[in-house]
Amino acid sequence: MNRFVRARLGLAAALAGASTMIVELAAVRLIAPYFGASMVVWSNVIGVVLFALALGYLLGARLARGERPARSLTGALAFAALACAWLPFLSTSACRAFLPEGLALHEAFRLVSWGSLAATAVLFLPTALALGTASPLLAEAWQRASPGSAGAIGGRVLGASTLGGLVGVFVTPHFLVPELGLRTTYWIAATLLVLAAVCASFEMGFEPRFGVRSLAWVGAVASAFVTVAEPTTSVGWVELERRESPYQRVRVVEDRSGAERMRLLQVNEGLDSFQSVWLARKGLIGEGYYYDAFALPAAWSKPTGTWRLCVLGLGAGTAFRVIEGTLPTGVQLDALGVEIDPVVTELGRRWFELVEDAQHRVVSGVDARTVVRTNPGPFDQVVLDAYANQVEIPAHLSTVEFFELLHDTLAPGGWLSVNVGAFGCDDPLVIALAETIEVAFEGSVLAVRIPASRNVVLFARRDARPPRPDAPGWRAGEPFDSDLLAKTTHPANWRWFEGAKRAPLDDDSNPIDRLQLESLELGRARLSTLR
Amino acid sequence: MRASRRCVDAALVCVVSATSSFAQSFVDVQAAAEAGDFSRARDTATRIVDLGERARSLVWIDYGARDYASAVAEARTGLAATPSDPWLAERAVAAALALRDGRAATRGLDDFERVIARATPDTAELADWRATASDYRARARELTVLEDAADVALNRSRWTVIVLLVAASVSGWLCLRGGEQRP
Repeated sequence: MNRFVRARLGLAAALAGASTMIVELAAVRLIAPYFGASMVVWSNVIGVVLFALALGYLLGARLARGERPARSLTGALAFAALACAWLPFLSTSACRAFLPEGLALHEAFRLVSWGSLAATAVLFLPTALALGTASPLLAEAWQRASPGSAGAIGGRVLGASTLGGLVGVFVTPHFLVPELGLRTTYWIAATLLVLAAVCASFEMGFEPRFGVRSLAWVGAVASAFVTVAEPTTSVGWVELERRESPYQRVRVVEDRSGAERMRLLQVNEGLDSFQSVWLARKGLIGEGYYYDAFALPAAWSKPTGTWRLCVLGLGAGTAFRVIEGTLPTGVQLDALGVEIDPVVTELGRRWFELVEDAQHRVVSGVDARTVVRTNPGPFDQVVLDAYANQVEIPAHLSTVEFFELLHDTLAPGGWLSVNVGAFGCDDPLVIALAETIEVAFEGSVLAVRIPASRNVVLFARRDARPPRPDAPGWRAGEPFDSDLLAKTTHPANWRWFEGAKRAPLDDDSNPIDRLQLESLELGRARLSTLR
Repeated sequence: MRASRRCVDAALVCVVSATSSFAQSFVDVQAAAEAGDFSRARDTATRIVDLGERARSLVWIDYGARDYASAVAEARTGLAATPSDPWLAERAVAAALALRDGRAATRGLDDFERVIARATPDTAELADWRATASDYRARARELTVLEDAADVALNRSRWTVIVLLVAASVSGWLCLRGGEQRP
């Protein structure tokens, strides 16, 4: 009998542990369509869950002093199952209460920290609190069914719970979320909790056990029939496809209202931002799109034969189309693209005419720095356009060691072009990255603010200097001169970096997260001076 | 926005033809910009003596280069010198809207509508200005509503977190109270 009871309680602990990790890992993805999945959001989610678990442990300790800890345990697990099953359906209302629709990316960012914290607290505090309550109740139920030392029982309960959590940690990002989606993931977590409640209800009478189980099952099943509201698209835009990848939520939207059909690839909260752009024609996209600046090096260099290109952060292939569409007549593109998210590459093939052949090679599912380390060059141009979680430059792709690797992949005179999300050339993020590249390349760096955008593009060359807007050699011919190159001669739209004054960002010390926050604060401060 | 563009062109023509010295300076500014040298255009503009005319040239350059923040600032400087200039008033609003700053645009619109109200009646041009102001007012209102909603959401977030934190802390303290009991 004791062994049977111990086994059921151990199983209940493992199931509860697995559910806890499923809820926690899927939590960021649940609110990512609204707040993104940056470090700030992750720390808010983990913080709230830990706080709620701690509170649950205290509550469980209090309930464990009662006459029937098994009943309290069953009730807590059933409540957790109900709360868990309904999370996907409550998330929209909760998130919208703290993040209004229609905001641009830079306007929404000030709400991300507090908004994601509030939404996480409202959504996950009840579930995590109930899950935390379970652990001390499991230990107490175990002790009463099979007396032993507190340490031995506590260790076994924790061990079973942690093993269950281990399964949840690996299954959630590798299978549950990408293959089954968020609603099914939470439904599975709820089902596991109902099973845990069943395992734990061994000493209750038939009616209470039946009532608790029934409530939990009915509530969980009812959730399967409710539709989850997704973030809407802007007026005039139609969603073509939406997918969950191991890294993010990805969707393709199309604008059919303008003269030209346009598609955008958006991730997570989307807002007014985009990761890739498609037009039916190749070549320049137009004002406000930083990809057009990537075409400048070839226009300045006037190559013959082949232009060897490497794009790190390929997305759905916009850089390929823009650069290939503007190469001088007779010049062929020989391109390598690296994209860490295989779902993005797949959507690129389906909706963005991303071609893969001998001249257009794509490495998907691998980190950019890993590819660069294999020294795949020499290249005439390397484009760095890698962003994680919509707004974050990956730290390991912004250091002097990484830029030295990029330098070595370039042919003599080769170009580095880097996209930086920033409000101007005096942005702290732009300055830090430009000075880091300066040290790595031992040469000058040009920063160009892309008019009508929130982007700055940095240019550097191996063994040469980029042209200056105030010097001969700036012009590249049409279609660049009359629009992009003309506007960037404005003093506010460019900056020259020579003689770095600060220590570069390196693998050991890289405050890129702080710099990105400072960048957004600077943008907001600028606007507030206008009011 | 079509009304806005007609207003911009019409006003520029009036301004340029009204003042011969400004006309020459502005021609130089325009030539430099069309030659693809906004830096030289700006240098030329800063040498114009008349404050209002200088402001008009600088706003034209800054807006053309999409430096909207500078365009707003220069327009306001120019309006301080020439408060009855509808073109400067309109550009200040247009640049603020391009920055998605509803409050700055609303401030600019108050000035713009005051200028229109005091303007010498010229039916076609006035009608264009009023239509532009109406378009801008609707857009500024949308942006201001969003900004207000964002402020409300931020306050709501902070208070939600504070209330939940206090409630949770009190609950935790209550759980800790009381002695150990064994069944």
